[in-house]
Amino acid sequence: MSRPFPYTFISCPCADTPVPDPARKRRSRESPQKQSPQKPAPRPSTSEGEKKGTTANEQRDEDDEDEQTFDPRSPRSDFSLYPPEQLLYCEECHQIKCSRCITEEIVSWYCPSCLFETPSSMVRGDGNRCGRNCFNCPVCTAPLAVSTIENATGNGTQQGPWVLSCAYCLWTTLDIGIKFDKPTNIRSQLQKMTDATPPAAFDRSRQASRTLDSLKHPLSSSASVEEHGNARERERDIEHPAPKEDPTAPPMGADAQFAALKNFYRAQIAETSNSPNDHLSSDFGFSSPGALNRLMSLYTSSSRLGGLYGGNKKAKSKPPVMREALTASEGLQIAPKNGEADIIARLASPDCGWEGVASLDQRKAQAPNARFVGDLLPLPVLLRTKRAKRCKSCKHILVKPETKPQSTRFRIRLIALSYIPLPTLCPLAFSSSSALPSMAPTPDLDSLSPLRPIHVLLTLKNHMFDPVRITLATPPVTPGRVATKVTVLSPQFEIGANSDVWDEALQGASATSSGDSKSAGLGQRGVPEAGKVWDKGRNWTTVVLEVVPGTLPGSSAEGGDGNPETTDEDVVAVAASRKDEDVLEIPVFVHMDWDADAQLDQQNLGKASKADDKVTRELAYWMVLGVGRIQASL
Amino acid sequence: MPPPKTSKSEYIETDTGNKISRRSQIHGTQHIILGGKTVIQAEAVIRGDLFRGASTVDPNNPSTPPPSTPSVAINVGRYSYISKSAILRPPSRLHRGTHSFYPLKIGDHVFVGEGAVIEAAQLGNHVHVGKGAVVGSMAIIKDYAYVLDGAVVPPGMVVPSWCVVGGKPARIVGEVGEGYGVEGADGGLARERYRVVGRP
Amino acid sequence: MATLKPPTNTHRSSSSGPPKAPLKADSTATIADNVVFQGPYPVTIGAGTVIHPRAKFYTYEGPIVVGDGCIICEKAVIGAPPPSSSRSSSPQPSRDAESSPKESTTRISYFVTIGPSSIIEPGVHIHSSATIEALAIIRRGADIGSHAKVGSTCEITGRVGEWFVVWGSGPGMRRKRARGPKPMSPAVLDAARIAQTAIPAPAPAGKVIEDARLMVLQKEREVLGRMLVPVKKK
Repeated sequence: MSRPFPYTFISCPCADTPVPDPARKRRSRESPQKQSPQKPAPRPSTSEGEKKGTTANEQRDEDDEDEQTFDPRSPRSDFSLYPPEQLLYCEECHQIKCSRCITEEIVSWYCPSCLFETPSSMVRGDGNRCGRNCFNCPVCTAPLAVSTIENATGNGTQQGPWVLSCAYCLWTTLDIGIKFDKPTNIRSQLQKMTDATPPAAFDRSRQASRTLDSLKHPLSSSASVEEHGNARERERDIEHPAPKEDPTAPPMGADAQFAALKNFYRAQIAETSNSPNDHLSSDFGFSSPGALNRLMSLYTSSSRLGGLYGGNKKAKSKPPVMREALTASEGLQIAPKNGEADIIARLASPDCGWEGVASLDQRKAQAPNARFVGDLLPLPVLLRTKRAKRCKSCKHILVKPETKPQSTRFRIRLIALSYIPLPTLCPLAFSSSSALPSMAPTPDLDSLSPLRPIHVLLTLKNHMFDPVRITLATPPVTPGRVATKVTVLSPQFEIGANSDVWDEALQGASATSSGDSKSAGLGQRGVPEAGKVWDKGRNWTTVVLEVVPGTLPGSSAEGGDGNPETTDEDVVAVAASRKDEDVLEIPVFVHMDWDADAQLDQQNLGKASKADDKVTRELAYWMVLGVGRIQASL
Repeated sequence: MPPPKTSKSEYIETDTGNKISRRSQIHGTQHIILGGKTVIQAEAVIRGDLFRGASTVDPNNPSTPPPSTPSVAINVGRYSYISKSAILRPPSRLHRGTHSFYPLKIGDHVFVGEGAVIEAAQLGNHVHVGKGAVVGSMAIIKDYAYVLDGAVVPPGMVVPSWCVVGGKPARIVGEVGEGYGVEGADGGLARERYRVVGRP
Repeated sequence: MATLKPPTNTHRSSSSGPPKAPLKADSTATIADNVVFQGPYPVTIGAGTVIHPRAKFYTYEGPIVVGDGCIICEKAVIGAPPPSSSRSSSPQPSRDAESSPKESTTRISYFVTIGPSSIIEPGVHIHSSATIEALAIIRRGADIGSHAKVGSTCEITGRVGEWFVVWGSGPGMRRKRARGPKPMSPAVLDAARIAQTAIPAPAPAGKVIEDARLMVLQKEREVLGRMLVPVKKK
C-alpha cells in the first residue's frame, strides 16, 4: 500500500544490527561455511579512485556506521522501513521488532469465506482448503454461491438441482455441465464426481505389488526391461482382458495418478532400501540427511551407474536400484498419440476461440491437463491462518491472537506503538516567506516548490505511562541528489506520560477542547521559533521542522545548490534514477530515554540503580518522514 | 435532520454530533440511524428509502400504510466517515420468492472513500473502503479489514478481519499490522478526521 | 461533470437554468424524485422501467430512448453533460459549435440494468437484458450485446458480443456465458469412465440461470415501483 503524503515510516534497527538468531548459530556450527550470512555483506572496496563514481551510501564504512545518515533511498532501506502500526516491540530485548525479526506459529486455520475453524488434524487431508461449501470461481476467483435453479420460479420449494454460481463473472457449474443434488457438502459431491480412482482400488494395488515382486530380482540388469515387459504381458493376459494400456483410454485423474505414483515410489523405496529402518520409507524421509546421502550416492557411485548401463558385473552384490513407473496402475501416463493435434484442432475450432482457452492464471490453480475454460473446476477456498509471533532472538511471544476466527482480540499484543511515540506529520498552514501567515493556504504536498521554505509539524504521542525525553536529529541536508535543507527547530523536548484509559475517558471533553486550543493558538503563536516546542498536550508534543525543498537535478530551478557541472555520466544517472527522486523524505534519528519502573528482571539482578526503583532506559531508531513531492520548476 | 435554513457553513451538526453536508443526498431519513459523530460529505447518496418491509407486508395491497416503527435501512456507527460522492444502498435479494431489501450495517470508525459504491450487508468496525471501490451486494467486510482503492469486492464475498483486499474482483492480498486501528495510527484516525471536518 | 452543479428540484421546474428535456414516460414507469433530465432532445422511457434518484439524463447530443423493464441506478449518467465552459449560456448553440450537427441517439433496450455511478455516453446502444455494473464507463458509439454484462469499473469502447461478460479492470477480460447445454467437464467424464460408474445426468442449459436472473430483476422492479418516491406531478 503506498500511502498518501504526509506519512511516517520507522526503520527497524535489525537492518543494521542483525538479530542474533540462536537457530542460525546452531546451523552455522554444524556447517562452518554457512557463517558468512551472519556477517554483513562485504562492501565494495572504497579506494580513492572508485569513490568518485560510487554513490554516497556505497561509501559507507563499517566502522562509522553509527555516524551514517540513514538514506531512505538506499535499496536496503526498502527492507527496514515499516509503517508504525506494523512494528512490534520485545519487552525482553527492549527493541523494536519487524516482520523479519520474528518467527510465526500457526494458532488456527480458518476458511476466509465461511469463517469456520478447521482442526489442524483435518487441514492436511483437505489440502489446506475449505471442506465445506466454499469455492472460488475458476475463471475470476470471486466466491461462488450455492444457488438453486428452481428457486427462481418463485415457488420457494428449494428442491434443486443446485449449482455453484459466480455473481461477478456469471460463471456457473452449468458452464462445465455439472449440477448438484444437495445444497450441502458440495466439496464431497464434487470430489465424488471427479474422483478417478479405479473402483477396485484395493485389488489393483495388490496386483501392483505382485508386479513388483516379479520385477524385483533382476532390477539392476538391462534385462529388467524385457523381463518387465514379459511380466506386463503376463499380467495383462491373466488379469486384464480390458486394454488397460490402450492410449485412448481416459487418463487417470491427477489426484489418482499422484496417489498411484506415491504408492509406487513408496513401495520402490521399501523394496530397494538397504536397512529395514531406512529413513526414505517414512513419510518425512526425503528431507532427512540420511535420505540425501542415499540419493546422492545413487548418482555419484560410478560402479552403480555402470551397473545401470549394461555392466552387469557387480549386479548381485549391489542393492537393487529403483525403477520408474511402467504401467498405468503404477501412475504412468502416456501422452495420447495425437494429443497435440487434437488440442490444436480444438483451439482452431470456432466454438473455442480466444475466450475458450484458459489463461495461465486460471491454469495455475487447476489440474495440469486443464487447457480450456471447459476444463476448469471450481476451487475450494484456501484456508488462512491466525498466527502467533515470537521474537527471533529471545523467543518471547510478542503476539498471540485468540484462536477463534471471528475474534479480533489478542491475548498478547506487544506492538511498538505502545512503547515508542507515535509520529504524525502535518504541514503548517503557512510558510514563513508569506507576508500574511494566516491567509496562506496549506501547501500542496504533491507539488512543493523548490527552495521555498515550508514548515511541517511533527507530533509525537507517547503511549507509555512514563514521561519520555526525546532528542531528534536530522542531517542538515537530505541524502541523495535532491538536497533538501532540514532544521528541527526544537530538537530536544519531553513528552508527558500517558494516563489511564479511565482518565482518558473522563477527560474526553477536555481532549476535544485541547484540540480546539491548538487551532485557536495558531493566530497567537505567530511564527515558529527555534528552541521552542510548537504545542504540547498531556501525552503529546509537537515540534516544527523547517524544510527547504531542494531542486531536482536538471530542472529549470537548478541553481548553485545542485552539482554545478553536468557531465554525460550525470545525464545518464538522471535518466536512470529519475523515478521518485522528487519525493521528499526526511530521515530523522530519534533518541528517547525514560525512567522506567524496574521490572522483575532488574530486581532479580539485585542492583536497582536508583533509590526509587527506577531504571533509565533508552531507545534509538531512525524514522523517515514522507513530506511530499517536489515540483520540477519554481 | 432538519432542512437547511441558512447556507452559512457546509455542514449541519446534529445533536449527536453528526456532521452532514448540506449538499449530501440523503433519501428516507427516517430509516437511517447515525450513531453520532459521523461525517457525511457532499454529494454522498444514502438510500434510506430502500428499507425492508414494504415488499413483505402485502404485495397485493400496495397502499398499506408503513408500519408504525420504521424499519432500519442503514445503520451507521460512531465516528464513521462517508466521503464525497459515495453511494450507500441497502442490498437486496430474492429469498423464498419475495424480493426484499436488507439493512446495511456500518460499524464505528469506518471510512468510505470518495465515489465508492457500497451495497454490502455489513461493514465492521474500523473498516477502510478506498476511493472508487465497489462493495457488491450482500458482501460482509469484517472488523479492521482494508479495501484498497478501486477494488471490486464481488457480491456475497466475506472479507475476514485484518485482511487487505484489492483487485477486480477483490482477493485477499495481505494483512494489516497488529497495530492497525490504534488511536492516531493508520486505521485509528477517525476522531482526527471527524475533528477537522467543517473547520474553516 | 463534477463541476456541473446538479439542478435541484426547484431549479428544474423554473424557466431559467438548463433546459429540461422533454420527457415521454410510460405511465407504469417509476421515476424517482431528483432525477435530472437536461437538454433539448427528448427522453423516452418504457413501461415498468425504474429510475433511481440522482440519475442524470443529458440529451444535448441526441435523444435517449430507454426500453421497458429497465433499472437505472443512482448517479448513473446517460448522455453527456454540456461542456462546462458554456454551462451558463444556452446549450443549443454550444452543441452546434462543439460537435457535428448529426444527432446520436442513445438506445437502451428492454430489461437492462445500469448500475450506480456508471457513465453511458451518447450514441451507445445497449441491447436487451444487458447489465452495466457500478462505475462502468461505456464510451461513445459502443454496442453492448444482449445478455452481456459489463463489470464494475470496466471501460468499454467498441462492441461487446451478446452473452459476453467483461470483467477485471480497464478494457477487462472477456468470457462468453453458457447459453445452451454445455459438455460435461472432462474430469467428471474421465472419473466416471475410470471408476466405471454412471455418468451423472446432464445439467440443464446455462440459459436457466439467465432466466432466473431476469425473474429476480422483475421482482426487484415490482418492489422498487412501490418504494421509490415518484416525481411530484405538477
